[in-house]
Amino acid sequence: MAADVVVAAPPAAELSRNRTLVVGTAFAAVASIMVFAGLFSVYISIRQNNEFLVENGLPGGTLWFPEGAVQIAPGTMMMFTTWISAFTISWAVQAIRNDDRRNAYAALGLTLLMGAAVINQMVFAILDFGLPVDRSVPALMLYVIYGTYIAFLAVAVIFVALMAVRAIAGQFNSQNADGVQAAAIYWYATVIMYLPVWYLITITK
Amino acid sequence: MTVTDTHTESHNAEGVMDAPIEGDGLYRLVASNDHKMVGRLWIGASLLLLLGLSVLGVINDIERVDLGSAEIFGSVTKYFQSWVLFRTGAIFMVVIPLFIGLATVIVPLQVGSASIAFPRLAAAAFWGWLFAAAVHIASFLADGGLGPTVGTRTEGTLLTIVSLGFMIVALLAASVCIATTIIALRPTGMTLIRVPVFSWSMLVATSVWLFSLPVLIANLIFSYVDLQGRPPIEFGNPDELWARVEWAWAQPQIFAYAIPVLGILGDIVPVAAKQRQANRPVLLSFIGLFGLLSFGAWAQSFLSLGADPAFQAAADPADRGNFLYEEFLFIAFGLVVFVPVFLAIGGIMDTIRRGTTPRPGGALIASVYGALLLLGAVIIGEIRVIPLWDGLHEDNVLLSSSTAMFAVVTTASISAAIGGLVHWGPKIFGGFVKDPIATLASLGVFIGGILLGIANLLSAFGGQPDVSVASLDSSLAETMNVIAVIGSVLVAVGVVVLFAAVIPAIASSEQLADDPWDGHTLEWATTSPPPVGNFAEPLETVRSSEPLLDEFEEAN
Repeated sequence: MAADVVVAAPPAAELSRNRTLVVGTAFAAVASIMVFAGLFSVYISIRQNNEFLVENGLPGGTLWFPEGAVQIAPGTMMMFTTWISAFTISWAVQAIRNDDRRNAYAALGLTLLMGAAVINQMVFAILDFGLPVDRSVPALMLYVIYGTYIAFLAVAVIFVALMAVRAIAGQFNSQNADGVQAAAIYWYATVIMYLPVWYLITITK
Repeated sequence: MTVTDTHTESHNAEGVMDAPIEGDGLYRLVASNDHKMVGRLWIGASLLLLLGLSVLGVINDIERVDLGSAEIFGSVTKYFQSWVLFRTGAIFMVVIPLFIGLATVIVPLQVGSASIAFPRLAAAAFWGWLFAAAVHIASFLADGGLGPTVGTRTEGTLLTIVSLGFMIVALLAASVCIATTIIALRPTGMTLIRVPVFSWSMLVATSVWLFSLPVLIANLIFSYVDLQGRPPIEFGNPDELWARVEWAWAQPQIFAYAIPVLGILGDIVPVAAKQRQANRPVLLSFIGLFGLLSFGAWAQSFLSLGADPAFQAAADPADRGNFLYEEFLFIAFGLVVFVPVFLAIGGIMDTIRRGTTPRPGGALIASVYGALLLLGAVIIGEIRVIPLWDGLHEDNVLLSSSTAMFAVVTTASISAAIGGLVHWGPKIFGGFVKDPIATLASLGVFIGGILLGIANLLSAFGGQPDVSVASLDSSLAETMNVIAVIGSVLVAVGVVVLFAAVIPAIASSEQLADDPWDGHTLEWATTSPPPVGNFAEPLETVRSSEPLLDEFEEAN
């Protein structure tokens, strides 16, 4: 019975797709964001304690980051790059939905390029800190947060790359853009993750 | 184009999945991504681990009887390692995997799907979890663990952290499969409000796990990095390792692992009473509210401003008090959580009053035991938080009484899982779980859970610390420790008896009816056990939350 319907090739509009990849990726993206929420909850609480101790001249308070260790320019550049990549991945989804393959390939390629650029810049920033990881608790947390972000971004880059290959192979179109949409959801999650990195580390140091 | 692109995880025009990969013998066991096989593997492995951990629990409790020595383990460090293994094992090797196993088999059937979402991921999650669990146990044998300072090896501790992290990742992957199945693979007409209660409870539970357990992974990442190749400076400090993660075994997070208890009860009782569940949307709301209130990642003691040891040592006592305002939230959550649990259980039990007096079968009895224990755990939570108003938090009572709550929540989950195994035995194993023997098993777990809860709570109020086996001049605590041993033995005996009930079902070659209990939901609309693809024919549009009961009523 089911095979008959498949062979009969029903009109695409009547096809029932259940978007498992999109829903599953949304759950995975939430879990990934919560890892970052966990990292930053510890970071903020320790910093809050430290500030209280420093402001009241109590023993135990330390200088958070040494002057010049965390530069504004690379961090802000990464923030802009992630935001631009959010637009390019949206562009890819829209292009696939419109069966505009040339724009879709360009958008996916640009997204991957920006992902690689952020990873590159983040590695540069880590090498530029000049802080031994065991110098202080803030230094340790800095490395953990940057390292974890690189890991999540690498996952997102691999995800987008796989979907780009599948798109080039002709698997996605206006009727089924689930793969690219799922990759976009995870990509947005990494963009959201970078916001606290930028504000709490690059800006407020 | 779309039709020819259809592959294992996609759907054809009728919303029915392609058949999962099947095989024979060992290949079928290892390579199968049939959700029923994967679910059986989860259940089998977690029951075997439950057996081992029950014995470990008895040994741990015997060690606590003589508070002046550590005669079995030889040192407090070894005892603490065993104590931690019991906790990590009970939650991440038994309770969550057992519910995931039940859900992996039953949820796709309940929501009328031909398979679980991401069947290959579901299989990979099981094997990944099993490997991580084996490494986790090995890490304790290699002097690992999560503290304390003396007698543990850094390499062992790193292995403990990594294996615990991987276990959690595997469980979260399985959770994604289950939650996605419920959200995305329902048939036409089955709105979320019409989803069976067990499936709904699993959606709530997996969502809470996906929100909270990644925070535990974050804690573990900090500790792991801090322990890498140099003396730890903060998070890897052996004195703090357990303290940094203990929130995952404490109130309110501990309740998150027992959310499916309400779902199992909610599916078994209406079938036993042959009666529709009244006010079903309200019941689902209470389960959802319970899930919301059991999210416990915010309740980490280290997130509280003023928890820092340097701050505690330096700050004025008046300031310390000002920075403990976060406890208001802890107390409020602790008090409010009673409401949804009590009303959900009350609402379900009311179905018995309105319906046919049910035959007291093993499924009903075990699930009711599970619900009563869960209610008991919530009441222990009330008892724990109410004294906080008077500043009793500075005593050790709050910390030490968490053992009572942990014990009761764990036994509640095991008891409810026994109910689920009996109820869905025909679908899981293709045979009946021996009813009277399973009833006996759940009775052992139930009475054991009550004894453990009461004994550990009273010993905590008697001044006994949560972990220490140091000498304590408290006859109350010593008496309660003996009662706790009796409770642990009863639980262990119940678990052994459970095997005697389940093994005949696995070995059974009896031809079973599709619906031996006159069930209400879609899992009973297929054969026992279900075929590959679950349903021989495409399902009709679902028009209520009890489609089989509708059919029965229309026919009569």
